[in-house]
Parts: sequence; structure tokens; C-alpha cells
Amino acid sequence: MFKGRTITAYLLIAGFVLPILLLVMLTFSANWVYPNFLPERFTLSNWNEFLFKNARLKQSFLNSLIIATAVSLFATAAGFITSRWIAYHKRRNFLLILSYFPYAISPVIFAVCLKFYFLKAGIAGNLAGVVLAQLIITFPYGIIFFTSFWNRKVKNYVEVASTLGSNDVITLKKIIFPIAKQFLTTCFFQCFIISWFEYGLTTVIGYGKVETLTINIFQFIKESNTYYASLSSCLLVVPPVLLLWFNKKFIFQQTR
Amino acid sequence: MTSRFKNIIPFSMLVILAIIPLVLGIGYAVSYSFGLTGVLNNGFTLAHWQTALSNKDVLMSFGYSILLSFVSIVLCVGAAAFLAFYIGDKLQSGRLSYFLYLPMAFPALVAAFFFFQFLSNGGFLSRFFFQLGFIKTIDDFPNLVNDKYSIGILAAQFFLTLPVFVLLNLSIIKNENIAALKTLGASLGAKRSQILFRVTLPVMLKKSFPTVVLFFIFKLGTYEIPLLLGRSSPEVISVITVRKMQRYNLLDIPQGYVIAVLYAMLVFVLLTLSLKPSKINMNV
Amino acid sequence: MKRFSVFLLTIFVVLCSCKSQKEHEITNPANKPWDSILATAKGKTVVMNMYQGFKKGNNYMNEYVIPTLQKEYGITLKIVSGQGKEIVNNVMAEKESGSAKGQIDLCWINGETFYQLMQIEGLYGPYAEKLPNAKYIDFTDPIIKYDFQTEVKGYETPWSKSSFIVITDTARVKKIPVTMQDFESYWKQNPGKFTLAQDFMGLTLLKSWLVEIAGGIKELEGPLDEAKYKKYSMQLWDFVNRNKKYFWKNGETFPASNVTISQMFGTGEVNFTFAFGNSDIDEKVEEGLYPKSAKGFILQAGSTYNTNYIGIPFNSANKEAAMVVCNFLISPEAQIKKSDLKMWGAGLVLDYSKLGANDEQKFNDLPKLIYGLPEVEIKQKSIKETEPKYMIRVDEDFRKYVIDAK
Repeated sequence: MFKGRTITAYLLIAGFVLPILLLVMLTFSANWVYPNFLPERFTLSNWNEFLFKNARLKQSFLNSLIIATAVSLFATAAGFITSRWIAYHKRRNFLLILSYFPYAISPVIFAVCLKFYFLKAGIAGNLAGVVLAQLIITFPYGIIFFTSFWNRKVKNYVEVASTLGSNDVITLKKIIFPIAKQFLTTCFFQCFIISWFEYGLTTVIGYGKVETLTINIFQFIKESNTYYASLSSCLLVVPPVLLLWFNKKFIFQQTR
Repeated sequence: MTSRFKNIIPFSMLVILAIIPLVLGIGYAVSYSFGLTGVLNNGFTLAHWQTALSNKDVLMSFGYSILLSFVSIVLCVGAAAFLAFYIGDKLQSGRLSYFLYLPMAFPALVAAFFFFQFLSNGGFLSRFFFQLGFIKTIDDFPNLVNDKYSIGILAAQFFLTLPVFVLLNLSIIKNENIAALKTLGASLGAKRSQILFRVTLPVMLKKSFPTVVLFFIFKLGTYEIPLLLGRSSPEVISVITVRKMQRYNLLDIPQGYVIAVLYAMLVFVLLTLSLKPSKINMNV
Repeated sequence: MKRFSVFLLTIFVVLCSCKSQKEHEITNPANKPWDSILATAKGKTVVMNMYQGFKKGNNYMNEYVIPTLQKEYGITLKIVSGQGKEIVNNVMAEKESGSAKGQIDLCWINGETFYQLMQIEGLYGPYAEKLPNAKYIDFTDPIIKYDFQTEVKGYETPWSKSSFIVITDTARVKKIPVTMQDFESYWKQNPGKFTLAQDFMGLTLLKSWLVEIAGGIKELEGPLDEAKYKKYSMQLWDFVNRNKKYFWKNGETFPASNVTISQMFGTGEVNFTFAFGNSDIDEKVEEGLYPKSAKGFILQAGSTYNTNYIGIPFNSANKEAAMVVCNFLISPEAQIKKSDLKMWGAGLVLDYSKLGANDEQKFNDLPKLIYGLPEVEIKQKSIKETEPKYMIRVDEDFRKYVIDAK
């Protein structure tokens, strides 16, 4: 009994670790010919290309980073403020369902429906457009994330503070922020990852011109460049894995 | 800050970033589907709706997506419940608990790419079996991607979503004090199977239901995974929508918007009917 | 602060939409003197939509074209993935939204895409014959003058000529099938070893069979004849449907792109793949993907021979720079590099007799194909493209009668 449980646990973990190991192996591979399990030779050339030669991949990494940072900063701040308003609103449930909608709907379908307006506004195919497009899904995520924060306890604290003569600014600084700090960082990182992983909206609104790592992977798959696709996959997976090491909650996001 | 001003900021943010895009996006799709927008459209018509609804591939796509999402969720929920009870203590804390989060470091696109490299005829598994002598040629390996039973898609989705449900179950077990309920049941003379089916599972299902529905909706809109691992026909909703919008026959484009409208309605109905948002557990 | 940026963005959105409707093209930049075009082009960024399925083609662009344009003309060329329907769809969406500043400045197209773009007036022109390097091109050559039987009229710059060939492995396929009948018996004996892609390669194969059914390209010349198309295409779908159970994965799915088929040909999963351009085999043998026993051959119908072109979308904001890029791409230097097997190995679009002695020598000094078919054989069996509507119809009907038919 005990043994079976241990084996199950380790099998499960192996299943979760294996993809990373195999992808990393592919990034060091050359001539991975069927039916060999291992490549004919291992090489550093793919990494060499990324680190020292290929400006494109580096630019994509940077783009992904800029977009994700901008999106998550804004989504966290805006989500925090808006969620408070919604949490104490009398039509709370309706507003929440409304917030769920953009976040639950398929980004690529949402994107094709919105593309017209982005073109019209002249922000399709550039960084600003992609950031705005991703905000349309991460902002509602932020709202939903923070609704559990504005519970009775927080409300009571705020009421007590105001009875004791605290003003809004002090309440925010001295009471709400200290309680919310952990929530805010967690939301920031979760939004960061949603943006970091985004493909559907980015490809449609960004026209492929705004190259992020996910866009790169798809291009490499299209030209069946397995090694580069693996390399950009690893670049995408590593930051969340690092975050995980700091705090498990940071990478827990509910997306597809 | 006056209270009025305090409300204007969140209100306008909600309107600008959530409500306006929603109204504009769906409005555009609706008007396109009725022939009111678009270069080739001239005036209101129901023709696109009629064509789309009489098209077998459109209806099949909805049926396929719903079935696929359902199977995917059932597999995840079932396996997660089993794992939570069987090895929950091992996953709850300690070093192993970190590994449980690993799949969440994978975007859908990478998961799809990996499972293609893993399960296709030329992939890792096939090579592994070849080296072990289980298969003689590449043709002996079964179809696991772009296959009839959507095994590749289900595998990738299982990998991505299983941890979410395991964690959800673990938190329910903890918060709802399932152990105490079980003891109570036992002391009242219930059998083990009775406790499982009459006490434990109903509590778990009830608690996780909103999240289950939410993930069902997510799966309905899945794009990257079926795009890489699915078959040419039937296609899931996202894939068929994008394909219909990229046709040489420009008259097909409005049909794509018909599908988008139908899909949006489906999501809306599912959300309103089955979700009480306050119950969704965002912080496992 | 954040809220203000949101409001600013909205205002920006509104302003942009007002502006875009007023801007209209008045003058044709192609009529300006070349020096002034060069001057305007300097420092601009040109975005090009390109099919990225050719690894060598991507290398040619990344390693040669992009740095050279930057160095010699001060133009930044950015390649963005996109082809055929995607291009048509994007241009159309921009037309609908009235965006005056297009997202794309150049696109690699031909045939049905060109036809469709012309239908929606999505291309800028005429300009091609005004390019300085146009003097190296024989615009009266029917294969250049007509793109899939549509007259180009200066709306596209020819980039390469190529012919459709089928590739197999003589180690695996002893008797190479040429006619549809040959294929039918081959499939029955070797189930699962054949498939076709849903892209232009697969569609060209289907069109070749259509030509074979019709008894030769003569029968399908000129505008699409509905009655003829019905008759022959029904036979084609019947042929495919009754045999698809012998295809890869029982014909229940077809790869989206021929790139996948080439990979599977390399691993031995299928025994046939397809290519436009004769150099594909040499390239992939060298890369280690294809076996040395890979061999090209031509179908019964002949080898579809066509030209691919570069077009400039009607609303490109950098037409001058786009023209400079076009002009560079048809320069003897760039074209000879492109024909080099080490670079891309694509077919020369320039008129050989118009090259200077120096360039002629350079071209002749290029390494010769080892595995590809002899150029003479392809020339003898080459057939011209059918009218673009055939491609569009075959594309739609392949989906309707084969893929979606259960």
C-alpha cells in the first residue's frame, strides 16, 4: 500500500518533469534522426545562436518581457481598484459575470472580432495595441482575483478605522496595503504569466509584427525548426519555473 | 477625494477596458453576420445564418468541441479526485508539492508542441518503443496525434489542467474538513463506499462545481492545442472560426462571425446559468 | 495617472479614426525619379509578409537580403509570417477599417492570391516595369506576363520561376507511379504512405490530377468553364475519396502544410513529398533530412510551371522603400545569390540573355544540382498554370467533398 502510493507520486512527478527535460535536450541537439532516441550529436550552436547572434529571438524575449510587465502592472492596479468598487456594489454578481466574460472567452475569437477597431485606431501591429488587447483579458482577471480579498473582515477594518477618524489615504496606506501586499504581488505575477503565455490575441492584433516568444515558437513550428522551437519553448517556461521556486502561488493561474 | 470621484475611476475603467470592448466586439460580429458590415456585404440578410446553420461542419464543430471539453474535464476531475485522496498528503507539502505546479509553467502552445514531439509517429515515444524493439517500423506506432480519438489533444489538456484540479481538491479537503465528515459518517455506521459516494464526493463536487464549469468554458475556447494536435475535420470552434475568416471565398467570412456570435452566446449562457462568481476559488 | 492614460488612449483612438479616412493616394510614387525614391526610402522600415516554410529561403532573407538592404539603402526589412489567404484577409480588413497606413508593405504572392487581391483592389501599381532593374526581366515572356493566366500589368514584381515536382525515395519505392492509375495501385499495395497538404503544394497536386483527368492542359485553358470544371472535378473527388482510406492516417486528416509532409518523408512515415523548385532535394539531402536515394519526378499531367511575385499592398505607407526592396530583389546580384544552392537555390527570374558577361559568368559558376532533375527534362514537361479560379475552387471543394465529407 505504502509503496504503491510512493510510486504513484513519483510517476506523476516524472510525468511533469519529463517535458522540461526533453525540451531542454532538444535545444542541445543536432541531427535528431528517426529512430534514434538521442540526437546524433549534442551541440551548443542553438544556444550560441540565441545568446550571441540571433537578434530576433532576443528582441522577442524583450518584447514578451515589456508587454507582460506593462500588462500585469496595469491589470493589477486597475483590477484592485475596480474590484473594490464591484465588491461593495449592489449588482455585484452581475458585474462579476460581466468581468468573467472577456476572460473566459477564447482570446483568438475575441481578437478577430476586435481587430477592426484596432486597425481603425491605428494601433494594430504595434506594442501598444498588443498591451491594450491583453489588458482586455488580464484586467477582468485582476477584478476576479481581488473579489475574494474584499471580504467582510477587510470591510470591518476599514469601517473601524473610519470610525476612529482615519481618512481615506491613511486607511489605504496603513490598513489596506499591508493586508493586500501579498495579494498584489501574487496578482501581478499571475497576470504576468497570462500575458507571457498569450498567443491568440497577440498574433491577431499584433499582426505577427509584434514578435513575442509564443509568436516565434509558432513560426519555428511552421518551418519545422524543432531545435529553435524547443529553445524558445524553454525560454518561455524558465521564468515561471523560477517564480515557482519563490512562491507557488505566483504561477497558479486559471487559464486554458 | 470625494466618494463620487472615487467611484468614477473604477466605473470608467470597467466600462473602457471590459464593457466597451465586449460590446464593440460582439456588436461587430453580430452586424457582420447579418450582412451589415464588410466590403462585400450589402444590407441586412439572414443568408449567412442560414448557410452556417445548414452547414454540417459548423454544427459538428460545436458538437465536437462540447464533447471534447466534457471528456477532457471528466478525465481531469476524476484523476484529480483519485490523486488527492490517494497521495494527497505527499503532494500537499514538501518538495514534491513544488513539482505539482510545474505544468502551470507551460503555455498551451508549448504543451502542444511538446506533445507533438512526444506522441507523433516520429516522436520520443515511438523512438523509445523502436529502441526497445516493440515496434519494427515507424508505421507500427499507433496514431496518437492528429488522430481519430483526439488522444493528443486530451493528453496535452490533461497535463495542463490536472494540477489545477488536484490543488483544488486538496484545498477543499482541507477547508471542508472532509476527514471529520468521514469520521462522523463512520461513527454513524456508514460503510466505506457509502462514505465515499454519499458524503465525500458530493461535497467535493458541489464545492468544485463552479471551477469545473469555468474550465469547461476554457476548454470550449481552446485554440493552440487542437490547431497543432487536431484533425482537419472536425475542428474545434476557435479553429473553424479562424479558418472561415481566412478564405479565398470572401462570402465565407460572415459565416465565421456567425460562429463567433453563437459561441459567445453559449459562453454567456454557461456563465450566467452555472456560476455564482463569489464561489469560484481563485486562490487555492 | 493610469486612468488618464486610458482616457488619452481613447481620445487617440478617436483621433486616429478621423484622420485615416481623409488620407487618400493622389500621386503615384512610381513616377518620381529614382533618386528621389531612394532618398525617401532611406531610414524606412519595410514589413514583408512571407511564407516561412522554406528554411533556406528564410536564411537567404535573414543572412543576405536584410543586412545588405540595411547597409546599401538604409532600409530595415522586417519579415512577418503570412501567406495567401491570410494576406488577402488582412488587406481586406484594412480596407474595411479604412486604415490609410497599412500594416504590410510587401507580400510574397502569386496566382489566386494575386487574383483575389486585384479583385478587392488591394494592390498598389502599376510600378514593376518602372524599376531600374526591370531591364533584366523579359516582361513579354508569357510565364512572367501572366500570373496564373491573369495579366500582371505591373502590379507585381516577378521574383522567381519554379516548377512543381514530386519527390520519392527510390530505396523505398521501386516502381515510381506517374499516372493516377499507377498511384491507385501503389496506394493499395502500400497503405498509409501517402498524403497531401492543405496548402498550395497539395492544391497544385490536385490541379495536376485535374489536368490529367481532362486529358491535358489544353482542355482547361482560358477562363474557368463551369460545366467542364464540374465534370472533371467530380471525377477527381471520386478518385481521392475512393482512395483516401489508403492515405496516411486513413485519409481522415491532411497536414496543414507540406513542411510537415517533407519531415515525414524524412523520417520514413510517408514515401512522397512535393516541392516547387528543383533544388529542394539537394538542399534537404545536404541538411540530412532526405536520404541520398531521394529522387524527383514529374506527374503524367506535366510539371506546373509558374512565377512567384512580390506585391505592394494598396495602403503601404512606405511605397518608395518597398519599391527599392523590389528593385534590389531583382538585381542580378540578389538573383544570382538566390539561385545559389548554398543560399536558396530558387529559379532565376531574370532573362539570362540580358545579363552582362560578368553576371553570366557568376551564374554559370554556381554549383550544379546533384540530386535534382535535369532542367531540360522539366522544361520539356512543363505546363502552364490554370486560371486562378481553379485554385480557389479546388481549395474549397477539397474541403467540402473530401475533408468534411464523412
